[in-house]
Amino acid sequence: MLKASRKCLLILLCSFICSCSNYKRLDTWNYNVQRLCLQALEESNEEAYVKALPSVVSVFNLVDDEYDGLGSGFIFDQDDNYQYIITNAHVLEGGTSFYVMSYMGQTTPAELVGMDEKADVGVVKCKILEKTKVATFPAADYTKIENPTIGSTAYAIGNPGSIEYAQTITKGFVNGVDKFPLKSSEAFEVAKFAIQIDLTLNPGNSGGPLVNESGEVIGVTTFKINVINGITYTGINYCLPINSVLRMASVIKEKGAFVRPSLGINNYKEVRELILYERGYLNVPSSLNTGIVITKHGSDSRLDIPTYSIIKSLNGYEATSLAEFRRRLYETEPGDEVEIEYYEYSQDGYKDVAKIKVATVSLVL
Amino acid sequence: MKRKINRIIGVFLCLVMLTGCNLKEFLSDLLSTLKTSQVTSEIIGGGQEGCAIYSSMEVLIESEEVELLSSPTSLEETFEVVNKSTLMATACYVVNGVQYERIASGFIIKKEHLIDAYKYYFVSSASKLFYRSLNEEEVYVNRAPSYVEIVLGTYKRFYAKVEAYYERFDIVVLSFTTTDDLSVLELGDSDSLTIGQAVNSMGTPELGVSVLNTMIRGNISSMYKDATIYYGNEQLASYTTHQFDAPTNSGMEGGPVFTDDGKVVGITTYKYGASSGFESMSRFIPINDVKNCLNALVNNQEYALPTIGVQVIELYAVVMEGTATWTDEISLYEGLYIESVVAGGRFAKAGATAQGVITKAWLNGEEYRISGSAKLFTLLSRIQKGDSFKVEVVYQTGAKEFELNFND
Repeated sequence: MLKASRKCLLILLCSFICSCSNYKRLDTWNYNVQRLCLQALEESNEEAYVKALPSVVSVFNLVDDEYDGLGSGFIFDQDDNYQYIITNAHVLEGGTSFYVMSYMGQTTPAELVGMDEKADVGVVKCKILEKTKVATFPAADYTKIENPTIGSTAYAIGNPGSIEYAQTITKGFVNGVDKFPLKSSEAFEVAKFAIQIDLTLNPGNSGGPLVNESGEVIGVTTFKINVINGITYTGINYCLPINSVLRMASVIKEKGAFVRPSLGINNYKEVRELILYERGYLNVPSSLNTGIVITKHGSDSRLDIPTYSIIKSLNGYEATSLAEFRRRLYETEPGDEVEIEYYEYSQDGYKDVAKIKVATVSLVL
Repeated sequence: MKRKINRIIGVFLCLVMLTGCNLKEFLSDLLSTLKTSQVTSEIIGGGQEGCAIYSSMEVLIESEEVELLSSPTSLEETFEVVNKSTLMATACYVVNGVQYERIASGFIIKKEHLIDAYKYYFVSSASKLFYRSLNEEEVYVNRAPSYVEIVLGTYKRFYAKVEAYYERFDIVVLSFTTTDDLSVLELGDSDSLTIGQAVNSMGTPELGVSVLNTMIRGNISSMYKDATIYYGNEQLASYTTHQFDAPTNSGMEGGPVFTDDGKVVGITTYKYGASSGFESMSRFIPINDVKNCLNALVNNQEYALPTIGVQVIELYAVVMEGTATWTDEISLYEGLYIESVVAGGRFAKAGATAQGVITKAWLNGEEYRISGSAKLFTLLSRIQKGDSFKVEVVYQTGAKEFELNFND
């Protein structure tokens, strides 16, 4: 049903924000970062910066002991021996060894715990860095963290370009949440971009925290859109929402990888994406503007309901968007039973809400 | 064939809007007709049967003035208010069997009560929404869209029809009908804006519904700059703009620019140098410049920009060419140099001659400094029938004032 031009729109020419150009051997690193950072912290009046900076680190990616790339990250957990750092998977990709550097300039080798390339989440651990602390989040329990409101101010901290620009803070405001720059059916497993923001992000910012005005981490800066179909876009940046990232990171920390619970391979589309022609064809009630349409059942689909049925909620959480639906699904373990409310499709129109319980499976991507 | 398609579309839209019955067969019939026929849409304004879909409902009971919304106290609230009345419009064209889509943004500016529904008028960018192509006489003309589909910030979708447009200001007014009670955005006062002031803009970049109603924020960088839109060598539109530094993207044209209290102070237009790597040189048309135009268009009246019948050029440009150097001697550095006066025009009728410099103007007694053509253009766009308009022209021999007649 998608028109040719719409399909073209989905050919994303995008830039991952990972710097690979600034070659610098770590052992030649001789820069008085410590003095500069302490000075910056003392002089800053920004609460967000002062509170968030001690948890921000730079992540170096080395291939055969040669510097290969640089990204940002932040400490999300700590035990007696190690600090655990969240960054983007594409910062770590291809690396054979890793280093992290604290905002104070202390550099230490880091060990890869695991990463999920599809969701672009990676976790490394290192020995406890001096004068650093674990990042704070809007809620201790990640399932309770809500997305930021549109129009709220947010800051990104990271090292755009090169390490000379470490601990750079940029300010912007949230343009949108639950956004899906990729086609839905792909977006469900692949895309992870939910917070749209207009601050300035550059290569090297990847993996850094997006913090609110109180210095609490609300996202992970990841991706920006440059050129699509010959049109140059500016100020369209995407951050992974922290609620999804924390879930994945905590599983990766425990098990070394994130195994997805799945309802089988299906294609989905958000109701709000349906054009009027499609809505008319399917007889979608005009009052229904949210929900997830199952557009195609896969061979191992666990959902024994007709194609085009609309999923209303999962485990009691409204499926307002694919991002939300995926988030709530990923909060379960593979094999768990989930309760799904749905409107069953029939040629005569959608039926009333019904419930089914299905057991999820592990999805290997 | 053309008429048949138009009628099919008309009936189809009516059914979708009013009955919501099963249209499967009907739609597939429509789609196959659209796909197989070599459709050449007619020129806009030439005939719009295809869009006249609400004729049976258009029983106007009362027209509603702008609803006053409670002032938002935070940006989040401002977003909520503006989001409900801002929309993405997608115009679809089928030309020689090929389908084209044009995407622009827009916002609701007028609401009318019908018997059991509301009719909403919204404004958008004409050049962005219209598709131009060569007609049989090898002239570029706007094509009438097969249909225009809009998506409101609440993700509700409707079909819309083109009501009127004024290309010089790049404005098109469209309408749609629904039983939903929506709000009209309140128009503010763009004259009260200052350089450095923060403004917000909302619209949908061409990525589509995935970034629906993106709200961006920036500061006004400069004011009263000329903007001209070309289509090939043809000048499509020209108007004055204010520049701001929020990152607008293609597709956001036609969307509202608003202050923190949610009042519309401008209409987003093309950013400067979009294809040349310029960043954040966004522009908007000040709302005061187009209020007269919008007012006429939503009331189905003809609109034409008042003219004064002179050919002018910026003074500094004339001096650089080596003429009118006498202005330097009297320390006159800004204004508009009159190159020629059109015979029979308002200027000629008032007795004014060429080789002078327009430096000031008074609209209804209020004095304005004419620093350039943009400023004069802005003033002209605000003149209504019967207004008093006076200009001061400085000649080598001295300054004179002329009262121009706008009573006809």
